[in-house]
Amino acid sequence: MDVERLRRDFPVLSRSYPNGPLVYFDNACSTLKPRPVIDAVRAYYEEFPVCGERSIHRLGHEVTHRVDEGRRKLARFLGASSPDEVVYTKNATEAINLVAHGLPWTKDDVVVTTDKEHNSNWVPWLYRRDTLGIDVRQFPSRADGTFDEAAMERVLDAAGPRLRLVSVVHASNADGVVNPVEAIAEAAHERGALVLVDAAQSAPHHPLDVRRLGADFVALSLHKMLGPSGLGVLWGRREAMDALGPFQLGGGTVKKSGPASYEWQDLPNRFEAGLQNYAALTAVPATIDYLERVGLASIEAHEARLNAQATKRLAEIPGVQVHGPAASQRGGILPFTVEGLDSHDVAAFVDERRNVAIRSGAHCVHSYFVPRGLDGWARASFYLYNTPAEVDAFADAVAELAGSVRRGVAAAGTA
Amino acid sequence: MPTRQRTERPGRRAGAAAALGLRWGGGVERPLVLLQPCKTTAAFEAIPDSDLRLDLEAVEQRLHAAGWRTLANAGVMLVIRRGTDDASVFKSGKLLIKTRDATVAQRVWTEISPHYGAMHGR
Repeated sequence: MDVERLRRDFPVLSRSYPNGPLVYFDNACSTLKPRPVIDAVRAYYEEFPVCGERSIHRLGHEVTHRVDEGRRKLARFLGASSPDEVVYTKNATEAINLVAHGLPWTKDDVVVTTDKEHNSNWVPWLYRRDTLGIDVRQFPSRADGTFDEAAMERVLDAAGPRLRLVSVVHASNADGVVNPVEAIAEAAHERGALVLVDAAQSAPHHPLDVRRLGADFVALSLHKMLGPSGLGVLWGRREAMDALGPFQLGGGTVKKSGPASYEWQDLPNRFEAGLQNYAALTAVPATIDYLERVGLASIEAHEARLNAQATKRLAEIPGVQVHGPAASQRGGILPFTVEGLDSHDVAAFVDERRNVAIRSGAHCVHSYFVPRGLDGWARASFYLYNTPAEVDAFADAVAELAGSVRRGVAAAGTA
Repeated sequence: MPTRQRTERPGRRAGAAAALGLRWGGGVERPLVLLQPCKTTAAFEAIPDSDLRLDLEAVEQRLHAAGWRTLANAGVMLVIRRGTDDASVFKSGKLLIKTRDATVAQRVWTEISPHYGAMHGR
């Protein structure tokens, strides 16, 4: 993987700033966009800025052709049986909500999650609990944040025959820990439950085959994997998707309607109500082509190297604590804190000092942070265009910050 | 997406700010945006329309005289506290205010920013 050559594809990396070149380590939030994706979005607005999947004129065909092409490529990329199993949403959050609102729930059905879910895979279940009376439970992680199989088994067993859905994050956005979703799916299926996997943080970094995962539903966000903003995906096994009721209804979701009736559309369109985000959808082919050219296995290995380097550097700095398990178990995610400082101070400092973009706070995983009395972590997250030199610039900035805090404490102690 | 809220121009505020002779960039009034970088995070940022070059040592002295104390001084960043108010002042003029309450953020900004202006451009 020629990172220097790849970097030339990302126009934002050539912008100039007063405090040095951009070091973008907020990839778990959203990735930068390569030129082919930007060109595809621009082409939509310049060449065929019209409705797709409806109009029979030439411009309409151009949009529909690209939407269909993107869905085919995405289905192949994900290992789906058919493009019909790929439903577009605006993000992974909406994909999870589609399941939360679409499954025909019965009062006292049990949903089980991990204790480290993004609000996107936590709050929808709490809402169904409050509105429908379902029962929502979590199984705890080990102290280092890794998966605890025995804890999961206990919670699944306790749910008994009421267990309806196991909905788990694949790779945590907070600490990068990858859960063994194949084993989780097997345990859930043995008990007759469905399985939803939040793959927002795994699909961009790890070769994914949705059928091998064993899940019934997989949610992901294309903007976290070089794609355009405002586009997510719900993949579902056909039988599981057929069991879902509508989340939204309207144009495109029905074959026909009459004064007192309607006939629901086939997959996937029945879940894609109204005019879609065609600027983004027509850029899906370019997104998938780019990722396949680079290769997910190469991306994953590159991130692991950067994370090992960054973890080693930060672990050597007095006053800096790296959280979670070893770097080899955190993918491209590095959570850390600097003693005596709020995580927002850390993020704001490295941005101000070295133009390093990282994230801070509870990362929308409040249900994990709050019970542990944690205010938040700073988080660096890496992607294919990041370099070892950028890791050094980042670590130097953190070292400078931690050193200045120690000196401040020492000065206060002698005053 | 950050929640963005355009505030009054600091130099046009009545009361304490005006009495301190608040000036930006050598007397030029400059707009400010107050934004909440994350909707679920307990922090607001007050950001000048372009970077300033504050003399943080001088700003720190003024803030101490106003009752603020320094929790950390990292060269380009001062982490300060007064009572229950926590904030961080940056050399660029950015102010990080640690609260979920936009009203508190606005108040802390109006209390701290005069100490930028009084120092800046001298």
